Amino acid sequence: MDIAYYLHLIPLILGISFIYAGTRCEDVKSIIQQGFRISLSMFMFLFVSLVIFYVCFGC
Amino acid sequence: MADTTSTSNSTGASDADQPKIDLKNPYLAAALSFVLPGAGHFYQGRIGKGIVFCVCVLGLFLYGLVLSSGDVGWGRAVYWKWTPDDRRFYFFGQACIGAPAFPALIQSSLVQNGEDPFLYGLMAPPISSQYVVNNHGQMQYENLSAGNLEEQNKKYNFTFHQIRKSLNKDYELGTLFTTVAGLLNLLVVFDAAGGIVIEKDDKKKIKETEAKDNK
Repeated sequence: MDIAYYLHLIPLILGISFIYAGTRCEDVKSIIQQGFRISLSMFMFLFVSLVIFYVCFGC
Repeated sequence: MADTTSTSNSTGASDADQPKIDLKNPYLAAALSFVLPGAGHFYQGRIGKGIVFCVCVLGLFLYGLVLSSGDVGWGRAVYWKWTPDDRRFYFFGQACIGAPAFPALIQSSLVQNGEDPFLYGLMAPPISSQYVVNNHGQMQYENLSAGNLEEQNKKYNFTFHQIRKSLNKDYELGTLFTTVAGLLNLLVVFDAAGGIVIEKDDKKKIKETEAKDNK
């Protein structure tokens, strides 16, 4: 898959993170803080997974 | 899920930071959220949260619609069709977003009655196709009901394979985004009906603080 297509994951991950955070906090400030924290974790997980796949399988 | 009045979260913020939630009529709030993401929260007076949910869910859904738009029409990844050659399971997820997916049902009804879809084929189902053997002995798809290509372009009547070929990977991404948006709306519905999720540790903290307050 073209590497540019991975950029489409950014809004997807942000959306999922904010809505998940919204089910756990009530005020908007907490939702935004928690949402960014979750999305950062997901981006890191995705990045490490991509590096491992690239190193191991070259794809 | 919390009771009708909840006071806590699991983000490390103190209980005192969280306002008490008046869920009003939770069933009505859930129904409103199911029809339009965030509407139930607006009804409950949780305006900020309603805006966050509305922007996130509708944003994902619209992004998916834009990705699956092109020369073959608008939002072609969202449609309802249930025929032996095309069972659209994805629509069950997409429909959970409520009113924004409603045009798909109207378009499906129009196309089934032999009429042309409106608004640039927005959420219109593809027309049926079948395998035929061409002059070279190869299997290929052929339209059952469409006329020539020019006529198809005017009426946005395309087969699934024409749409898939035209939109390429964007079609899959559009399907993914719209389906995920619909399923995320279920979380919004649960939040409107039951308030925020409270974990076991938080429940202990709430009981402890309540016991202290009573003393």
